[in-house]
Amino acid sequence: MTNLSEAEMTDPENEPKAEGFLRGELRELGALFVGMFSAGVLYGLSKAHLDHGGGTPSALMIAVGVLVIVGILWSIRFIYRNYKSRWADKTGLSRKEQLNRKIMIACGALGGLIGITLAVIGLTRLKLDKDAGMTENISSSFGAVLNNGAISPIVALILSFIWLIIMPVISWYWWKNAVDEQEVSAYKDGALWSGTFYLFAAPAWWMLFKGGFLPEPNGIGLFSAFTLIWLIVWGWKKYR
Amino acid sequence: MKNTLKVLRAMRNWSQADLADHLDVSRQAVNAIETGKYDPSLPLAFKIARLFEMKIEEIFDDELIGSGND
Repeated sequence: MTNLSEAEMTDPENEPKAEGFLRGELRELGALFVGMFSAGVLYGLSKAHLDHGGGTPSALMIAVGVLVIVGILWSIRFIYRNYKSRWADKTGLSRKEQLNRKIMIACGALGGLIGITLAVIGLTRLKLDKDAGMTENISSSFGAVLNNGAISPIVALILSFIWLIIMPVISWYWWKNAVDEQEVSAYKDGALWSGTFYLFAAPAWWMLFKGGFLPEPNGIGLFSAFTLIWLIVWGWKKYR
Repeated sequence: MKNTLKVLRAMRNWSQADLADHLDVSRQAVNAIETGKYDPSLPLAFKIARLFEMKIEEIFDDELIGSGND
């Protein structure tokens, strides 16, 4: 049996941060934002182009479009290379963490695919509506999913199916196979903070609406804030 | 909570990922325990103790031991 002196005890105050891990994570997150921003710009450009008649795009528009696509491809390449190099590092990821990452990447890819599909469907539908001379359209875009506008029934059904059936199955598999107690603790902290936020913010917004100070409470806005707070606290507790 | 996990790991020449694999947790969990940012549950503390063939109190120090309170 090994006996260690007090001096050999690890002192939390003097411990270094997690072996450069956070820096790598932040780089990937930055690249992800570049990719998402580029995709948003591409969508906005396409929509603006269609709103203005949808004729042959100008050389400038094509150039901007190409630059944006290069931005998206760069961010995908950066994230892949950075992630691969960290994975190969000798202080890399345990088996559980590798499975955790694979599931997260699969979910991210699924989300990205849904976003791209909705954007393409939305733009195609907008073009068809414009060609048919319609000034009002029921948008199928992801933008409409997040605001109070109507979406087409088929898109609503597909998204609800993913949210109610696919996501719980993935979550259950992830919970049973890839999560450890430290992550569970981080999630509980996130739930506490986001739940507390909702508990105070939702009634306050409702009262301020009733008093005429604010517009009607936005359910998806509150949900987004709730999710964001949960995500931030979870990330902080897990990776700090 | 202070602990000797990093020293014990180093004595076996294990990386954080190696220890994480032995304990069936993530590397972040090992790092959080080593740096005192997360206190393991009792089952995990026992698992760590069994892995290193030591008693829990030989690995973890609640900082009361030896401070005149016992």
